[in-house]
Amino acid sequence: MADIELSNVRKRFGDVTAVDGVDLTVEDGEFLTVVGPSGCGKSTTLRLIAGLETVTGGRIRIGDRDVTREDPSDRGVAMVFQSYALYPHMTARENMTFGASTAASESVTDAEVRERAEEAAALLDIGELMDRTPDELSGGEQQRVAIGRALVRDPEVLLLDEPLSNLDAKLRIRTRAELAELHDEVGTTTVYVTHDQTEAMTLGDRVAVLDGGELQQCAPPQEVYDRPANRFVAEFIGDPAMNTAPVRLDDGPGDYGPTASWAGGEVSFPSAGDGLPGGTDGYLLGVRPEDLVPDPDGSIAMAVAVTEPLGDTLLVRGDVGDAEWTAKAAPTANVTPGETVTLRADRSRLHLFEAGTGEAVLHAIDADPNGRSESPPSDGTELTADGSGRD
Amino acid sequence: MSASIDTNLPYDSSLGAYLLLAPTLVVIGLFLYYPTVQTLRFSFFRTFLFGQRSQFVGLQNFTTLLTSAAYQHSLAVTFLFAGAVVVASLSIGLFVALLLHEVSVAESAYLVAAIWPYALPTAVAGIVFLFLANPSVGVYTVAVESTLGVDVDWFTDGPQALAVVTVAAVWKQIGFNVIFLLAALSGVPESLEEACRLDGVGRLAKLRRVYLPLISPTLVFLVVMNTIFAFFGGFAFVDLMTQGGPSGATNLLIYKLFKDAFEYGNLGLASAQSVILFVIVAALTYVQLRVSDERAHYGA
Repeated sequence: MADIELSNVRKRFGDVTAVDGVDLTVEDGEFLTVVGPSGCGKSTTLRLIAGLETVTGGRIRIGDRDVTREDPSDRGVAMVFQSYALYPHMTARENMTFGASTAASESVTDAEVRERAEEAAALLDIGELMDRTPDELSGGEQQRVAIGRALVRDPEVLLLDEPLSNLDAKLRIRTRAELAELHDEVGTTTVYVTHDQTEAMTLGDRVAVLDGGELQQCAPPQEVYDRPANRFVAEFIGDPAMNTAPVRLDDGPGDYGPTASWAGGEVSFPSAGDGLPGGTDGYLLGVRPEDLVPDPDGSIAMAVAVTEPLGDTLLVRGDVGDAEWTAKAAPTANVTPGETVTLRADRSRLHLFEAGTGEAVLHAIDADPNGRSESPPSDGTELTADGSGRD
Repeated sequence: MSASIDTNLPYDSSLGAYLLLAPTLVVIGLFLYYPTVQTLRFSFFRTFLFGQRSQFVGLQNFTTLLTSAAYQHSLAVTFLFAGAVVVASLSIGLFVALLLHEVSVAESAYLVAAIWPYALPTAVAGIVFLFLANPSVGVYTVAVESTLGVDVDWFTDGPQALAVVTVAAVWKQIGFNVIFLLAALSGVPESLEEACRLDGVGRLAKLRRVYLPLISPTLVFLVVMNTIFAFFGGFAFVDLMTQGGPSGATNLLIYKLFKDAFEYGNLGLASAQSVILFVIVAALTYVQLRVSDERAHYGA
């Protein structure tokens, strides 16, 4: 096992910059998930670590070795491909042993490789499938063989490129849990690329969010969710996405922090003294859908366009000021499309971003330990149904 | 039941359908089946005046051939030529295809260069090669004489003549093989290639254990096509370059039967040779396909 360090890693394909100055450290034994939208450079980053692509700039270190210019086979990495990349003419056993026995013959004997393959097969519960060829295996079984092949290599680093994306939804959830268990058992440093934020959040010790080839944030899942570093992360992580609106900041009432107001309503941050200048524009308010509750005393007005019952919750979508917002209401909430409802925001869960750069300025969760107020400020100006706020 | 089928027929009677098929059937019948049947028939006859008069002789043409030293020599030369052409054009074709598969700069230029000889008509290729390898003025001659120290004189030296004709045929056929092999190699998923790179699988192991099994259906097809080419396609080179000589060293079956038929006017004997050649090629093809059924990997 080994840690990984990427220092200012860049990769260009012609005029396209796929990875743009990524600094990233993966601790020994850590499970890091890399998530981002299509084309964000996450797979390229993984392939750079694997050595399947060469960096345009920057350095990559695995353990105590600089592997920036080393061949893939010398890096001590094993990779599970999205397509599994199993040799179609070989049995599962041959698939698992072929690479390890042809490559590492000087350090590992064939007998050891075979033994490892049997161990991996037992671990992955595919012992009975070892004599079958890939076309005789289901997608899930092929995936296990692919993981088994990676384990037989006994790698220092395990790289997985969207390994669950070819599985159906049910199998994906089961395999996800099994992957987590597997990592607990073998403890190999793992980098896991996915576009699925649920996978990223559930599997990762830490989640690295990429966009436009740049690392946006790398932190434990809850941290990424609670304290998104910028607007992109805030809107990318979480489903439905975080609601945002450009707001004006003013000094809040009494002990409260600044008040954000816009055409859709106004909310006050829980504590004062966070050094934000009052009376200024240029900020974005962020509120997650689950932090919005229909409440007659609420200070945000939403013209409801659609309601989507999910069983355990009711998604309420509509216009708040100029923005389209979503609220997660209780399934029993009495909301119908066409009406205007007032919503109350959990003030301890508000976020504030700089409008221009999108950088996070304030997460209410950090603002004041005593500020976790569930009720709106008593002197908060009521909103009228047409959504106009106070001046 | 028949009524429901009839309603699906595009014509009232089958006459219309036959009329549409007629041109094709006439062409195939006139130029393929009729000559085939005639060849088979002629092989049992002794013919005079280019087949104007003939006399049934049973299997005599065949026994004459199989006991003739000249024919046995031609048979041996043909097998030698065919074996060399199939093995060399496939191995060199595979080597070139692998290089082209890996190259990432000016791929099209290399590809055109590799398949260009195949694009030439055989007659043109033969004449070009005749000049290139001419014992007195050929460009190749100088190179071969200076590097190998051989006195190039294939106008009189039998083995040299056979070698030159073989090289010409291989040279012509490589492009054909490269096209198909390159297509087959492109069909091998890139992720398999990458899996090999991650595992540090060497080039030879990769070729033997990954590429060859995966392109084996194409290889089988090419072995069959190259065999057919080797038995029938050598004609133009021999005709243009050696006329079967010197002293029968390049007298391939296909050339010998041409000469027997159209130079010596012995259609019966030539037909018998045609039948034998056909049987040889058909048998070889059958064997190749049977073997490939067991060996080739036809993936899912």
